Amino acid sequence: MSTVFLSILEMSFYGSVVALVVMLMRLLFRRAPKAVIVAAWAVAAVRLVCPFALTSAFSLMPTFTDAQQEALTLTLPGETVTVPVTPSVDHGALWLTGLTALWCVGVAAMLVYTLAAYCRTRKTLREAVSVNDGVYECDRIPTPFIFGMLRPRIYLPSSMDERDREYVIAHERAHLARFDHVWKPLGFAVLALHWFNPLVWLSYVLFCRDMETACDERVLATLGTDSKKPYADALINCAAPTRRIAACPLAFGETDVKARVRTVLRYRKPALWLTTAATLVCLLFMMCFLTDPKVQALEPAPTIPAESTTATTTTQPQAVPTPPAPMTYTQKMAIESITPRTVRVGETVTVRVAVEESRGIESGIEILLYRESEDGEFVAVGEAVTMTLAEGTAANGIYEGAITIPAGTALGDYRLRASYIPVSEKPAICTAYTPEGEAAVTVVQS
Amino acid sequence: MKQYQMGAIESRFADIIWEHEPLSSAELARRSEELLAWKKTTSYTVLKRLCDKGLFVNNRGTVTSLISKAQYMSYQSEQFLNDTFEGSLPAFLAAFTAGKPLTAEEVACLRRMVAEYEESAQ
Repeated sequence: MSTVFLSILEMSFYGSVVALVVMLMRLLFRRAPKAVIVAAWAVAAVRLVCPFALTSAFSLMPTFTDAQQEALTLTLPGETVTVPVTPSVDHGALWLTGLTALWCVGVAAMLVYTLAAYCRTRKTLREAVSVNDGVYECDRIPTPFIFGMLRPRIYLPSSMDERDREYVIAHERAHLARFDHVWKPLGFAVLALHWFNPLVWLSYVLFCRDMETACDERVLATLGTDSKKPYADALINCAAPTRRIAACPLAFGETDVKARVRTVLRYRKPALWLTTAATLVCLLFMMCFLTDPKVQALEPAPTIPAESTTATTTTQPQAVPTPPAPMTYTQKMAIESITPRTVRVGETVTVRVAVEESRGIESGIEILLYRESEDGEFVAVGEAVTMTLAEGTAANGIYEGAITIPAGTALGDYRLRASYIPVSEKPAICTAYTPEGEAAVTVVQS
Repeated sequence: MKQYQMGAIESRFADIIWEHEPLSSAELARRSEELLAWKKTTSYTVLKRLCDKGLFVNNRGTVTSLISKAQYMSYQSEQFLNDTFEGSLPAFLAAFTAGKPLTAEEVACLRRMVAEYEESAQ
């Protein structure tokens, strides 16, 4: 469910972009046939619910790339530690679950509201009486509207003026011919999924208005410009006193009456060039915003270092490239010589260590002289001494170092240990490891 | 008194009762189905509403009216006059005849009605 919510969020963003463009188009092309704008709204709706899109070279959709990171595993001698790259990953998961739940509640609320409104209207419409084929009269409805998606019927208030009837019925029939009784509820469903996005709310309101205007235009085109005045009168007479956003009833007077009356009275049959131009612009718009841009996947990063890796666009349906294998290396160390094996207090022990280290890190090797006491404690002789590279390279070479036995060192058998200086750099997995070199050294009386 | 107001379709339903009363609620439902294509439940719902308004009464399955149709019409006319012409009948007549003049028959009828009224008032 969280993934669904995340994809809804993403589609909400891209859909909003398209919606803004449609709003811009509405402002710029006011004289164009509104049916074209309604088609543009359909494009925005598709982007709000469809996670996939074809790609084309004409796309104007913005895209983002996101880097992927995965947890890195670090193997140390004796233990394995997994280091998550995003340290607060637990907080993130909690937030996501909470927001997803909230979103689900919102969607459910919208659907419950719609269902309640539908049931209430159906109950009222039981008292309707048939007038014509598909046209009914009812006492208790305030405005004319269409109800029903599969078998839509036109409902008229019984108190409506006889003279307005002809125009109202023409308007509602135009709605049916345009299948608006299907598009409007679908649009509301899209709104329900994106209830958190105010731009989508605005888009829905504008979409409903444009749908009504497109319908008005169609009626006037059929009836002729002589009908402008009586049609506008019918509009005013049937205007609803309150404005509510409802999914199912396509009310005649539901949307902004003033603007519609103005549009109706100013209506002129649009010139052919305008209609053609508007249709072309709309097709172009669809190509630009229904498709996604073609993107090349970047080269996967080399295995060293292990952090930032391949980037892909989120909209490409191809599988994400497998993350590069964690960095691996090999280590081989061997004590070549310890001179002398028996050393006197105050003297120096010289050590040579042969190293093969595939990373070629130059953190270096250190040697330490120590013994294990009776109670299991490690007692070191002085400090660890860093060796220096004497021959070859850090990847394959010989290190040299010397320890001087300080005065006061207890006599007896010690162990000399050569080990890598701990490195706090990019963690990696060592695939071949030979233990630090160790050898016995005896300290004797000087 | 305002509560008596009925919608156009409710009036058709009320007419069924006025024309055929007293009648059983079942017969009323049957006639409504014939005339208005209403389901039984719808008939009962509307009947209950009109009974609550005080127009009709359903006495153990038999429906009768509390107010005759004539009384109802007179009430409606009074309401219309009050709402539109501030209760002034002359004003209404003036407005009515402004559109088209009264026919000779209508004048004769009105004269007769006024005469009868004056007689009964005395």
